[in-house]
Amino acid sequence: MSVASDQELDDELRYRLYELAELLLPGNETLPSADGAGAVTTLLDETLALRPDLRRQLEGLLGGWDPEQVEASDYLQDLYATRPREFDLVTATLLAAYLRNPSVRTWLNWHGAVGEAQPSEPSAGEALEELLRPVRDRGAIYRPTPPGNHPGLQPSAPTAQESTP
Amino acid sequence: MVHENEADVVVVGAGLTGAVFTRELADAGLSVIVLEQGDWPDYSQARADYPDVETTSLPYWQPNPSVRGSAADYPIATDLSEITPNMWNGVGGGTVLYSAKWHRATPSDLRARTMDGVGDDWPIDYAELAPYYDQVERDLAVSGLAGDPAYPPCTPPPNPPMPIREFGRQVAQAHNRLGWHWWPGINAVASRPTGLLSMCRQHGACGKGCPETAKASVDITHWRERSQRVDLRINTVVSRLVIEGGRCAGVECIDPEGSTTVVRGRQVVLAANAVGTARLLLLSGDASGAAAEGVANRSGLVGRRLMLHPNATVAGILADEAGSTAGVWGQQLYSMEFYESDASRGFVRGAKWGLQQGGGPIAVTRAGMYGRGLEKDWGAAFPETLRANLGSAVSWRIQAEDQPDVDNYLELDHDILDPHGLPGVRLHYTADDNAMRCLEWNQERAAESLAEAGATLVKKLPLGPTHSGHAFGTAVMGTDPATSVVNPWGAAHDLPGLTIIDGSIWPTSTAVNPSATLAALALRTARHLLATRRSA
Repeated sequence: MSVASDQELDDELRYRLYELAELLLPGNETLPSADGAGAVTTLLDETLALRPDLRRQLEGLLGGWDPEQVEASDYLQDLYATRPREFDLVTATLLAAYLRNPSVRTWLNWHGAVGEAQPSEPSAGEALEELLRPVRDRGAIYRPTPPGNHPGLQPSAPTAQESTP
Repeated sequence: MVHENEADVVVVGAGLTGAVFTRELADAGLSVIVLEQGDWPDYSQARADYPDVETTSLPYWQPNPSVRGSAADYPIATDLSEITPNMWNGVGGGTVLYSAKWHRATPSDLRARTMDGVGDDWPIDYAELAPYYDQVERDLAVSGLAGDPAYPPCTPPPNPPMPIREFGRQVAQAHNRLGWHWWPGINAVASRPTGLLSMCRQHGACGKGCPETAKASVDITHWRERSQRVDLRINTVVSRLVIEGGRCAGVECIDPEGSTTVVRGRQVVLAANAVGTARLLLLSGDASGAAAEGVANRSGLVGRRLMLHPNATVAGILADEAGSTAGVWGQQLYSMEFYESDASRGFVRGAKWGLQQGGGPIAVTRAGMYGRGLEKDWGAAFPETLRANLGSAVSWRIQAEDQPDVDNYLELDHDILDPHGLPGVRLHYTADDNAMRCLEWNQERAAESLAEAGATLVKKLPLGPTHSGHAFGTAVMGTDPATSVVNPWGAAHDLPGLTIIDGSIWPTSTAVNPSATLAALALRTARHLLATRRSA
């Protein structure tokens, strides 16, 4: 019996995901497991609220797996070997939730694609030129190409100012 | 605001070509009405600075219009196409999503038939395009280094190249040992403040909404500040061309309130990409009932010769942390070692490689890209795997030249309708054997490249169904009306008053990223139109 809101996985599918999650992200002495981090409970709900498309895809995938017939470890093996996109759906969703846990982000030192300070006046620089020296020394590698014969198609490139109607 | 419904020129599409073209005409004093089916990009959706960037950026910046399904997207059926086209239907067009890799075509690209006996020659040469490349590179704040031996000498890009990060340096050194070409990436990304663009801070989020406004997407560079002669109308869907007295006199469009309006111009210019433009040409004949094959289509080639740029990937994990979570997303560096044709390889024409960063924790743990095996990646091994991959994952993105084939085409599909009841399109596309042999061969070389760079994992992703943001060829240009849709200036052979300026008109695809040539051609066409008006 489902007790989920329409934005959440129902209990049965959530339990199936939990079984996979504990195999994929069991944790260790410094990192929590998926369940310990909240990645199949509150943080999963937060993730799926942001990405309802992931919820729909997960429902389709997990709904097609019968844990009574296929063990979780065998199911993962099959996904990994034969359906990498579906495997990535499971891991991407779990990681998205897992990384919402501050302790996981701190461990990984991941704060997003935050960018970096850059030199105010970038330049090619000597180091780059030294790196490029073998490329330059080889000389041109493009093919000399004869111009085409384009009768009646003389280039016309007046400036905008010249051609004001 | 009271809208005048007549202008000197009506442009359909506010992407790259429409932007370049419109600015040139407006600066010359012409009035231009620009009709754009989508809205302005919402940069509040740019999530690079947030830890959940990989999860939360995708719905809004989703490149596949069929998945994104915004109000501006029309249906595209791809079940019969090996490549799914990515696009952005809104102000800025494809430049909103593009990685901003910036490449001129090479001289031989425009002479494929003469040089290699395949495809067609373009009716223009590299030398003619060169001054237009120079101009658009200034307008789009291109950053890069002059002197690439894969090209004839040319004017340096206006901005210096972005710094090469450690992963780029390691691969560059590998190429030096192999004796192979590489060059610092040239990108339409500002390496220093330029106009409305800020300096790039290497978020690596070019395809997910640049949080710095450093990427030169034309919504910023061309549309934010525009001439008063330009009337840009967003959320306005063009449904058909209006043809009067055998001439294209304007377009019929549906405004944001749902009203149908006719907008007239002495010239109608299509800049809606090779899918959208062909769709509109077909729609314009279809609705009349008199020309189910579309308009401007005496050649029968409207919608045909569809090219979508076959591509491949080789992924790798370098031995140590190499800064690959950040950088310009497009290409840290590129190689054109195997770009020019060498028939002894078993194919003609060639491929371009671009070295891309790995991205964040979710990206670098994808099984298909960087997987070593279930037990090696997950379970007890996961913490070590994640730490090893993050900052060390890279990939070579390989792009082969597509050859035109009349059996690759798009057609209207009346079973899939857009929100206005207009038919969507169905693509029929199979990559040709030559391109696939080219990709397979280049994947082998790219694997050698990463192995030489010391990668501990090198993975050639299976060739097969993929996606591409590049579409070409569906209204080809040429001098013979029997074998082309438009003339070498983009003017329709069969329909006076109609000009096409997007990738539809390309005779071949080249193997490089198309933005530079799209922009240069649009500028060339604009100046030709101005010169023609002046002489008339």
